[in-house]
Amino acid sequence: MILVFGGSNQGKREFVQKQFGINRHDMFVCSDKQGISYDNQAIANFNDFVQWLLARGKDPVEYVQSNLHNFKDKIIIIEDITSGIVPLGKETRAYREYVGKVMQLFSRNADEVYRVFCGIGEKLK
Amino acid sequence: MVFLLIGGSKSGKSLLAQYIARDLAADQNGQLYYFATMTPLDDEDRRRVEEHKKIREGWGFATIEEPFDLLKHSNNFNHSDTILLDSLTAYVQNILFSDNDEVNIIGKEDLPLHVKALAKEAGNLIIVSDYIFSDAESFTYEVNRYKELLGYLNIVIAEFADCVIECVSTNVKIHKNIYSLDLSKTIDDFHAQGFGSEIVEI
Repeated sequence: MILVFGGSNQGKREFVQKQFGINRHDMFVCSDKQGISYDNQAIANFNDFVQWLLARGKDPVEYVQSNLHNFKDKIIIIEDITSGIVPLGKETRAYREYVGKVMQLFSRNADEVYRVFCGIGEKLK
Repeated sequence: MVFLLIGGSKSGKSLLAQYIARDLAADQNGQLYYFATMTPLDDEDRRRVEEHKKIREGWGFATIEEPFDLLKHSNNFNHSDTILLDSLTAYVQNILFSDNDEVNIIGKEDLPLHVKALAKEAGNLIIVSDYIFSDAESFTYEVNRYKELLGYLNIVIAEFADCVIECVSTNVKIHKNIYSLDLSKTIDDFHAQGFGSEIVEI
């Protein structure tokens, strides 16, 4: 498992394509409208999937914990939304904290962890 | 040599950029230019500008105030000069939110070309930019466009820059240094000074 995170607009997906030779189409892009698929090598916008789960009353940490086997050979890309202003809205605050927790969980279980800054990937683990 | 310095508010990025500019210019015996892009809109902005002016007093910077056109003053520069562009963030803001019709015709793809061309005119270009990419809130269309354009420019400039540096509360992280320049003395001087610009009363 490889975790790639970074702020918005940092070129995370381009980094993954270049670094790991992943085809642009071999990437499942999560959104708040669709769930998740494990058919592709990389899963992008995982933070949107966290939001998708929360909107359906599901606990994202539990979900990741019980599906770790599905993520074993995947590259997971998450937008790090945890380092900005604390949101006023309760739901956005929960979203922010769950993304942080999920990032912890992936970090602990990943073989490699990268942070992307201005298109430059730094290996943290 | 092209340097890109990025950091949050009050991270020390502008002051470190000043030290880098000073040391690069001393090596080349060229003129130091401070390329100011911010257009002050109110008293708070004006105080911010004054604060930055105070910080660079006596450093030998010739100041150029130009919000839109990075290449307008190109003829003045030569290859031994060092330009400190502060900041890319204000420049993007001017380009995106200007009422000036001429400004709006500059396309997204043109912006890095302008920065590249400016870098070519002078021996050294040091660019100061902001890190505004960690929020959980979603913003208006305009703000997202602004984040997107600044993020894009940061990435493209980081690609052709010789040195990319992140400042976090005056801590310095060098992300890229293709000539393995020894910046330790410059960074020591910066740390010895302590703090950059003061907080402006809002």
